Amino acid sequence: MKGDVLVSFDEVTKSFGNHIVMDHLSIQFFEGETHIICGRSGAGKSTLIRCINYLEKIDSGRLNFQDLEVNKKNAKEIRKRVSMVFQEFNLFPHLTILENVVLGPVDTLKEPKNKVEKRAMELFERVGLKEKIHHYPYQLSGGQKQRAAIVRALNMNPDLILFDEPTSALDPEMIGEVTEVIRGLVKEGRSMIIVTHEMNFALEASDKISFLAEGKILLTKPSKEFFQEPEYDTIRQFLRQILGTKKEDEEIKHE
Amino acid sequence: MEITFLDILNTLKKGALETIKILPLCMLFSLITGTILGAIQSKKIPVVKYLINAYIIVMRGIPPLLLMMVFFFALNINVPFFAAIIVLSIYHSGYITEIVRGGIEAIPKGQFEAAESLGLSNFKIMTKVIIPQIWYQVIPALAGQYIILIKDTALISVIGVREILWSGRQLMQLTFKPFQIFFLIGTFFYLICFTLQQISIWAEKSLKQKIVDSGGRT
Repeated sequence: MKGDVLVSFDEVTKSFGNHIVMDHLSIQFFEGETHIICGRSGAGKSTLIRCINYLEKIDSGRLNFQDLEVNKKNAKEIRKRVSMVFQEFNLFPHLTILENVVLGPVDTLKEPKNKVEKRAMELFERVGLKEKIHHYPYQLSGGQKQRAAIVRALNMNPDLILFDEPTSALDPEMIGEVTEVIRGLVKEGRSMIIVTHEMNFALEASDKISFLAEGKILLTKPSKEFFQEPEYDTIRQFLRQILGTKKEDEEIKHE
Repeated sequence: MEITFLDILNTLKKGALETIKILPLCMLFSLITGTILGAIQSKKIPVVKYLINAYIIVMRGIPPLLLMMVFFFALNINVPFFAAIIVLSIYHSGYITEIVRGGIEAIPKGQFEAAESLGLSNFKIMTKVIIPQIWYQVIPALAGQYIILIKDTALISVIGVREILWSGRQLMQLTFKPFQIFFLIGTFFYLICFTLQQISIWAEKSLKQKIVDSGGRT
């Protein structure tokens, strides 16, 4: 545990029709930690993090972010403190990437535009996009778009960043440039919750890994321990499949 | 006194100017009202949804000429110029409401979510993120609606607006040259509609590149 509790799920349930996504799920996320959520497709990983910034509403239980209960009334305040990076980037196509990044802090946090732009420029420089700030999203590659989306999240100066499969929509050769940026954020000690299938990245860059299955958190462990003989068959199978597939991909690449 | 071709052109010019004065105002008001109502309609607010639906159904179900007569004769709005602007704007904004609603609903859900996750208010999500993106999708339908609006301006002569068709009718009674006069009036309307079509094609192309060429992932 690095710091105070940032997010706490307490007996949370959530379902879509008959499909139960969270079944009395409880977990805590701590300040300064990089926490990876993994699990099979459809396990509810994305739903879990989307509940934190109220993009999804829980059915029952308690969900708190810092001192606030996550509900409609507090949604705006929570979104000022929690940023999100999406799988499909979701940059606004009619705005340049600089305008994309400036919109939130100016309109939501009411910060002066020149101050926000200055901060944005520093962030763009860090992720290697300084030359592209006046480009529109369609003029960028997938990796560049996702880096711009990360800058948009960072420019809100958030207490927590949620990553929803940030590399899943990228071509293999672009994954590295995005994970590199996230690794930089890990070094800074940012609080992050990341949904990903990139288990090598998870092992190297995270503090904790949780495995979600059948609406519950099956296991939460420090990253290094997570990979050492997990006691659940489901997790062993999942790791075999994920790491096996990666290995095959790499072999094909070498060939 | 003989009426020359130049006299005909001058008289039609006065009528055309009246049409040209009314047209942008109708376009603007119907667009503003249609966009506001379309944005509200996309939110599917219980009672409001039915009220706007009722308005759309009424506008779609009655001829604009009837509406014009209701406003001018029944409601006694005796200034033809204003009555024409009000009626044409109200009538066409009913259609534009549906065009805008369709455009908003075609925007990917992720765009709304990204804007929400930045903490933007509903108003700002619409005005800064969603509405600016719908134009590419709605331009062809909007241009089509505006072309109908342009042609509907010919109806306002009924309530006494001295627009181009009204001027043409006066000239015809003096010159007995209906073919030449109506040919000139037809050319006037055709040129305006053609110009609008060209502008819409250009606008659609330039917006398409920005919004669609990103392969759906933005």
